[in-house]
Amino acid sequence: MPVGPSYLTEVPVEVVENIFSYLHPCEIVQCRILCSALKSIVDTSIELQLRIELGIDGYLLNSSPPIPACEMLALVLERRTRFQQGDHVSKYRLETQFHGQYEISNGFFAYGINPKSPGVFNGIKYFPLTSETCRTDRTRERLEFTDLGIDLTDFSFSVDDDLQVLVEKVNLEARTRTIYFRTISTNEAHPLAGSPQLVLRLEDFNLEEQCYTLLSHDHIGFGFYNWDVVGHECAQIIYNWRTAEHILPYSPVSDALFLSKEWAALLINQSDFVGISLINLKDGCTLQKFRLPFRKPVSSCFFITSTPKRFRPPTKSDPFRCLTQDPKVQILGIVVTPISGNGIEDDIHIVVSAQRLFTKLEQVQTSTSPPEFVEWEDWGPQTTRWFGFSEVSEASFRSISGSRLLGKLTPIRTDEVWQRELLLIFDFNMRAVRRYSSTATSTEDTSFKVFKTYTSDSELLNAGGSGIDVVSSLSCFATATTITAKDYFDFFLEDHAIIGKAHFGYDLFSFYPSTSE
Amino acid sequence: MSITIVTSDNEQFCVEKLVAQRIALIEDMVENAGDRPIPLPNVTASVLRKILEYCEHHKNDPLPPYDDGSRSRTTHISEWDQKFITVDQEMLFEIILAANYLEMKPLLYVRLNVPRVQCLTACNAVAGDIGCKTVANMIKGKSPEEIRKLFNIVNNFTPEEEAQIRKEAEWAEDR
Repeated sequence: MPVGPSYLTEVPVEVVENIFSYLHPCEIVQCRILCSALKSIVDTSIELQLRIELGIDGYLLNSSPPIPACEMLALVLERRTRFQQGDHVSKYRLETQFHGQYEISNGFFAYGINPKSPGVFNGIKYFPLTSETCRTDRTRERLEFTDLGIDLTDFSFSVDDDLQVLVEKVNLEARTRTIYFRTISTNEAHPLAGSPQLVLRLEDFNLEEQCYTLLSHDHIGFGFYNWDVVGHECAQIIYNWRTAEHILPYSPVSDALFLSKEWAALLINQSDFVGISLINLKDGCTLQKFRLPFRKPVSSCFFITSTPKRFRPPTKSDPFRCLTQDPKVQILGIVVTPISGNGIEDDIHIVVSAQRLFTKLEQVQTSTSPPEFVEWEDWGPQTTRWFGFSEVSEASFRSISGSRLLGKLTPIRTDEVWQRELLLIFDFNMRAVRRYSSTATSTEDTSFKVFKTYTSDSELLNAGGSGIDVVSSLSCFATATTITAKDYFDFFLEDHAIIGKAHFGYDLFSFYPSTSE
Repeated sequence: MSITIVTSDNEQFCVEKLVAQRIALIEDMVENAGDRPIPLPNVTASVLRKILEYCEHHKNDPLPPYDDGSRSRTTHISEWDQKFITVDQEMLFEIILAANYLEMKPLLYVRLNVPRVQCLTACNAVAGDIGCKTVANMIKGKSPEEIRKLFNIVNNFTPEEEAQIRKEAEWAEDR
């Protein structure tokens, strides 16, 4: 029997809440088992409940207003059971006429409305994905701008910063492209922006075709792509919107990805180097370069991932801030087309474990003479998993927990019938991998559709026709969803939500059945 | 200029006004107390000594940058603070309770006229939060049995209840 006082159970409730708020949502749930007093605090605390809901179960699409945590847990358990019985997803259909750009950030889904001409629109609709309980700030609900006063080709936003970044279409007369930093709430110049707008001059930018934005914390990446040119021309800029500083000046970089507030990864595709370059966002300096095993530049390469917009602590007034990432399971996804020709492009998908990359970086940086490049053999095989075209034909993902990849299985023709195109979720969370790989053999006939587990070395021969054989060993497991892939022409994954884009608009899927069914 | 504080165990502390003003409750009392000593019936001398040590060390700290989310969410604790908070469990909880009672949290920012929104997001460099983070760190990565043992928590569930709660928490295990 315990001896001595039990301080944790004797301090005021708000102190326990404060202590538990430093724990991962899963650990908060585990604390319910300690004793009835602590269980009752977890079950009745709205703040902890919000953390659990947002941290664990993804979006409760269309769920009803506040329920205590104990009921929510029962609900989650029920969902899990149904999930295991093959009832995978709940669906919410958002019908819209126009299919322009769309974005998802901190529980808000936003999409372009009011089309002007192909690829150009001048309105944005913001739509919250989380349940009613999470929205204390009701002024932003379903906010809609039918005329922003600017003809847009792309936008990004951050609800936390009340920031929308609006990319205006090219002004062909002035030969400029202007990017505006405005508030979401009022569509006025953002008071914290270093400069209310950024004007890019086209003397410097011959890549006027497309300009995409990627927003993370204080930084924005602008990606310029010209698809008309053989082999694609690409360039990147990284800009700090608060200070109006250019961190990475206009550079011939294939793609950029924010890993954290401090670091970014660049994909470089040049004659002397094909690989990943990690840079410091404070000064734009290169930290280290990691070579990919391609001997000559590839036809194209892009990141198919982006990190959460923000990682902030929760406050009572804004529970969205508890969205956290676990760097242990964060992955970087890359799609590479090694050679182009005849319209048949064998894309390869490469997944890199961020944690293992960082571990390698630390080893290299602390060695006596850090090399200019880390050669593929020194970091690649243990840090990556490669998927050939026969395994994954198309993939996209973005995830708050950052550990999942959504991939489409290439259909196989058997007995004159095309097998249904499967949409697979690849999970790189190691604890989950161990759990599923241990149960997969014993419960093979259950309806939980473990499609395949990848736990050992695999060899990809002649990767994408590049003549290179690659061994990779990062573990993951794939599960098959019940979503009919052919109904949609584009997919997007963020944590527990999958967005399918179709001719009628968007279907939003949650991994678990919604409460309203 | 200094003021006098009297603790629950009747010890008198002579404290520089600038340091004392970092504690919200005391500041309120200074307004009303005039030259009389300020009583703190809920805080013992040993705890107040620790709290003042903390205030003294951090009195010239700049504000943590606004929106320093990534750091706030981690349970990172600076070297000095780590040393400061390396105390037995009784003292650890005494500090948390005293900081809670003395409303130390927002004060630093109130004094500096920082907008309230920033007070909320940048308030983790204070003693109570360091204490809470320390307790959270003690919980992290441990099994329920280990946590119960560490904090002398009596498991008052029946085996049936416990099995039910474990079942409810099952889905959280593979994170």
